[in-house]
Amino acid sequence: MSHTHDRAISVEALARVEGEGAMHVRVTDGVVERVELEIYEPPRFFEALLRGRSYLEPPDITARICGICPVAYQFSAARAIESLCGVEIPDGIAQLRRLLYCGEWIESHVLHIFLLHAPDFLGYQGAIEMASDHRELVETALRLRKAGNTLLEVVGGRAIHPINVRIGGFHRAPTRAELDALVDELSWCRDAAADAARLIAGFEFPHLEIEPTYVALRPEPGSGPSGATDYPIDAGRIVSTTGLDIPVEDWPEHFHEEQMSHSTALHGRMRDGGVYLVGPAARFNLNADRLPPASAELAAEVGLVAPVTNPFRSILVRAVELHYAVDEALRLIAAYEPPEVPAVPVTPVAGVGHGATEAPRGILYHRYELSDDGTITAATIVPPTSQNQPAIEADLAAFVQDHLHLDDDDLQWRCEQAIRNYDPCISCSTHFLDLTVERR
Amino acid sequence: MSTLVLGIGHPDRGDDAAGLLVAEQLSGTPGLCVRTVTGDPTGMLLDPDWGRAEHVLLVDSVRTGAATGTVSRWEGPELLAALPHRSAVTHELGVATTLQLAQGLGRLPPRLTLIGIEGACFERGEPVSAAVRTAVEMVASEIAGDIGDQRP
Repeated sequence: MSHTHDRAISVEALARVEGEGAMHVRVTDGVVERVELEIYEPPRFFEALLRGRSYLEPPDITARICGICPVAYQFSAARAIESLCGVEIPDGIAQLRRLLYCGEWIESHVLHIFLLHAPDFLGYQGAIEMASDHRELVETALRLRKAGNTLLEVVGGRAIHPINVRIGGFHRAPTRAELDALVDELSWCRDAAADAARLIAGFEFPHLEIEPTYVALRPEPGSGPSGATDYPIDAGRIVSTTGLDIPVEDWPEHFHEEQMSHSTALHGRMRDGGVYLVGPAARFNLNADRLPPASAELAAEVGLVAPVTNPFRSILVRAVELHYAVDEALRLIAAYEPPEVPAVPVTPVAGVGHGATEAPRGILYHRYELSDDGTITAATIVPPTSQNQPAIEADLAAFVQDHLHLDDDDLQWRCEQAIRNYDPCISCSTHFLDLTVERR
Repeated sequence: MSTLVLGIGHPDRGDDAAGLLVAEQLSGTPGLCVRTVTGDPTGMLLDPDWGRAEHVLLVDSVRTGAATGTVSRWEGPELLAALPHRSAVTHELGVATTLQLAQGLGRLPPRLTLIGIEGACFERGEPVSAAVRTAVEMVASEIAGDIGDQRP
């Protein structure tokens, strides 16, 4: 029986953490004709839900969109509304926000690196099966993850859907002593992250080279510590590997979302129709020069050089970013001085506000329209997974084309791995694929 | 014999608070180490008391189809066998995944028990139902009584 000519592969039950999806592949005469990655439940209902609500509510409402990256939603929303209202967040509060964001990067990256992605490379169905043979690795993951969660709890009030964030700042700023208590464990985490990167560098990465347009934030010069410039987390201009360099408010002129007949999820594209990728590889490819010396040296040691064009190596980028997030958290804690006030007042202004931050999976863009009394009249939320969908489909097509010699089970398994390269929320559900194959 | 009681749940989702309420009632009971788990449960594997305890007793709300307030009990092997098999963890690490990871890591305590209190309403902001409150009282009393019986 030929595996390489006419095939139809349907994965009927993909579900991301927040929803469900599927994957369909059609091969005709040995050529991949179509790859469709569906998501049934994008968080678009939140956009309608936000209409008519107060401008103060988006951080708490949108945080519920995702349990793994609520901070990203909170801060993209806050930046959009604060920029519209002409509020400059004091540096102390901004640094505290960045610290909270580091906690999210830590717990999210740890989950994906160790518990979702590493099993692919080590030959296990999942972390549970991997645990007995790689006990130290899994225990390291749990300890790292707990440290990230603790940071979220101390600064954000709780690890999942933090409650301490508000428009204008925080409800309460942590004390110096509360943050100092985290230092010893985070110092251990920094070493553990470096060791993890070294281990991951030894993985065997399947061959796949892609050349999409990478898009990431890039902080403006001088915005970082001591006049240096930060690696992007909570702010920056939007830049691309094709020369785009725009302020966040110009997003709608260059990017848009479109309906796809095969999916209820919107797909992000550039206005010229081009597909693009956001996420760790994009960040690294566009900001490798912004890594501080310790993380830059680690990247060099593990052989990570921009541009990273093999998506399977994204796990290595995440490991270096994990090291960076821990290192950055330690730097922010060392420099911390409790702000005079935890938040500044924000008076509503009628108009349109835009905000974007770097969620662990890539740029998260928010746009709000406010009336003069602060009522939200329109909201747009563009999560990274929506933006990456077209590029993931294109990559899958290339990957399937090169692996048509595999039988269906093996091909499905490899496709799931390829999807997990992007750490989409649907990566969870790719473990539950029920693959059916039709051959003609 | 050291016993660690872990009350698991959400404080603001109706009957999901059952485990937390049991832990609250048992707090300070001589001979018991009591904790609450409201977020990522994998962290409990790193609690030193998890490693030291001879008996870990998890109390959580469950949905088995029984009448609201019904108390069920599962012990070690039976409990592990009843867990849904998931070959990979998702973004949400639940109690089942945590126990399966503990098994893989060789971190299961000598004795493991899950006490499940059948819940009915898990909606945000809803109160704990009367039947579950009664069950909470009963479970807390039984656990305290068992510990009392073991004390010299």
